[in-house]
Amino acid sequence: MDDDYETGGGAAEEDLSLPKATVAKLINEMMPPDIVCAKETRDLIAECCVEFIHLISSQANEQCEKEARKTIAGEHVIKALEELGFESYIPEVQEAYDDHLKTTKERIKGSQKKDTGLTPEELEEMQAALFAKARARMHSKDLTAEGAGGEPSASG
Amino acid sequence: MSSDAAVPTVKAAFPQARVKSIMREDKDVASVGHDAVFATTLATEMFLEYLVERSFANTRAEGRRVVGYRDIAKAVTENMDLAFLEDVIPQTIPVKQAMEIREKILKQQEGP
Repeated sequence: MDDDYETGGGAAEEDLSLPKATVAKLINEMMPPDIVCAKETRDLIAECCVEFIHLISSQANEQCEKEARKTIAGEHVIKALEELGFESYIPEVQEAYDDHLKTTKERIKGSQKKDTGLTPEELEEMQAALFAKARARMHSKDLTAEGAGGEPSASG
Repeated sequence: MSSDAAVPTVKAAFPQARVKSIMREDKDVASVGHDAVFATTLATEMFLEYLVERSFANTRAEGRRVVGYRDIAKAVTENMDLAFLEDVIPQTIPVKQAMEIREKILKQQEGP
């Protein structure tokens, strides 16, 4: 650990910024074909976005503290947007958030089985077919071992 | 990936780890949940769109083709929601004039 490095106290709020490439990309996507954005202007827009993040976090934090909770949650951010006059953002944020949650759940579920791109029904069919094959194999093995007419051993 | 979704899934373009770090620059902010970071990231992207929209509207209104500081400054003055940016945007007149000159030069450099 480098003790000489000054980490505490600093009021430097502009140390972190958003990636310039991403900012540029988002801006360009929005611009009509006949208008361009100067580079300095893009940097300024990025700074404004950072300010916005601070504004939202501060407000969301207040909301969180009001509820005597320790971790800022999505709902605090939503409330902050409402209180700061950005309620028009809420539907889209809410929708994307719900969607994200659903996708994350599905991804977690999916990663627990191999993603073969098959529907659950197809997978079940395949599984049933595999079981039947395995049973048939065992059955024929039993017949060979015990002679003809042996009943298949009960094995699950 | 579900292909029957009629509405394209909104994905966060900004890196959420960075957004989280920015949120935590505020000393009062102790702990931020992932859902809060995600919501903030999205809202920030929407905010960027809003700011850019308001700004280039001003550019166009004045018959220019390059969005400059003055367009953002004007958007901040004209819109209540952007009032919190007043300290971030240079508003002084000399700067404004300097920007005009600079824009002319930039425009020349950008080409037709």
